[in-house]
Amino acid sequence: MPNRVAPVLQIEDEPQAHPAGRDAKSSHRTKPGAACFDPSTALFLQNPLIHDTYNPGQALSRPIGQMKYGNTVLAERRGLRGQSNVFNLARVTCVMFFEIPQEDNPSMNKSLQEVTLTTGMEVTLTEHHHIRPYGQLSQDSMKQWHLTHKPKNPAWMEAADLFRSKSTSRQTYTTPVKKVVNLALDPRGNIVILSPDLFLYISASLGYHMRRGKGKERTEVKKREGKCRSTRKG
Amino acid sequence: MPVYTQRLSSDLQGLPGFSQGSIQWGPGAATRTSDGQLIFNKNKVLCQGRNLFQNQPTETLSNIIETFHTTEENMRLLTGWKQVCRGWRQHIGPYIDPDNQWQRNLRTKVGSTWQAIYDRAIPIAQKDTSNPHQEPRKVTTKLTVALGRSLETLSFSRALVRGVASIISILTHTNDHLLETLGPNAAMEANPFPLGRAVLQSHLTTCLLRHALAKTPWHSEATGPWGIGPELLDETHMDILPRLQKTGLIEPTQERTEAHHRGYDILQVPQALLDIEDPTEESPELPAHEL
Repeated sequence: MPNRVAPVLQIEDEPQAHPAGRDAKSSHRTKPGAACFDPSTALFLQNPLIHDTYNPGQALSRPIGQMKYGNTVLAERRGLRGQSNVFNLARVTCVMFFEIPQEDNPSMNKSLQEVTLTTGMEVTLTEHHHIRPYGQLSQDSMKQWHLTHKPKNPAWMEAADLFRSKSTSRQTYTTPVKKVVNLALDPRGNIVILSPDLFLYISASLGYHMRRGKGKERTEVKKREGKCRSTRKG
Repeated sequence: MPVYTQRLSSDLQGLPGFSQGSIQWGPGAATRTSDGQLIFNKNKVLCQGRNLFQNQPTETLSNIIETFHTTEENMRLLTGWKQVCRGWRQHIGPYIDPDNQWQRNLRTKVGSTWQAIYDRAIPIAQKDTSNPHQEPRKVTTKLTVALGRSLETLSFSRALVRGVASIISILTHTNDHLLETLGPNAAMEANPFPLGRAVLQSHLTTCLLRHALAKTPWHSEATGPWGIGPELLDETHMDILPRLQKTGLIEPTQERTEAHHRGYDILQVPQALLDIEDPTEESPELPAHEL
């Protein structure tokens, strides 16, 4: 085909997903919102803790809303047996924008935003986004970066719970958040977020926790087969 | 822990916007199950990149459409796109409706392609002695290349698939030379073109995957030459299918409906596959990955 065109592709009807915060009955089954960031969330572009590669002339971070296809960000790769903290640069293969539902009535809209989003440490994320603290960056007199306040057992938490546990006052949404952003990275990895007071968070990016759809089923089948065999033997 | 499955990932990558590095999802497009899995509703994908058709005058739309090649695949694409502009379906109707320009072109093209390869195949099958100077194996090699190329050019059109499969079957059965080079015992002979057989096998398999797993025409009009509804399956469209009526080798003389023809067509493909068998078997010089 000589012209590359990109109209919307028609896809077979699927069961409609529940709009955010509208169907209380379904909320225990499907919670709205993917793993997403407010567009102003700063992502690390380079690792200042590796002094050999850190370039002070280059930006340390950039808002996720400005990311484009082909940009690079600092990503955390999970090691063997869930061991982590291997950082590498990953290429942005897709920027995904998710629209946050809005109500016409300002007060209702504010409530809807509070149901959907959570804010703490001046970072706004969707409520159910997974995140864990990584420590705080500080610069010494020699302009060298160090990591302090590193938690001993950093656990993944939902954004809402993490920011609640920080006992910071919940900020109100003076300006409605209309869209949030997430990235697909190659190679897959979690993204490092920098808050304005130099606290670092590791955040689940889209695709890092990707798994085979039928993995569970296969395991169950194997288990069942194993049972059958042992029964026959018996 | 937020997860999304490998299947979802490949589905996402199949979206046109993904190739441009951005996808915009409408409200409620992503939901999260109790075990943290992310579910994407692809119906809620919004504007994906530049839309060449948006806000264009009718003449420009026609110009764009007319640059497309007449293939089944392009017709599927045109109808698969929605929200291109107001009245899109109505606009493409004159091109792709069964009795209109594209379908007529496609039928003509399939018909002429079929006629060309048929005219080349029959003299080979009949061991035409009027051209004794032609080396039979060379001619057969050229023909098998032409068969594969025809299938590719016409996007493995179902209307052509059966015709090609029939020709392959004829070639494997008609004379000693063809039995040696294309038939089931070919692997045991000093066969000069295992690659040609492998390509044919690969193409036939593609045809099977593309058409045979779909519903049969009498269950749905979604298969066969595109867009011909059951109400239009009459003698008007007999030209959509290649037939072997000249030789009578394959085609029974009994009268059958168009739907029957189209259903039986695809059965010719596994027959042709059986006729050539797996060319990679006992042929270690041709690794399977080259297929």
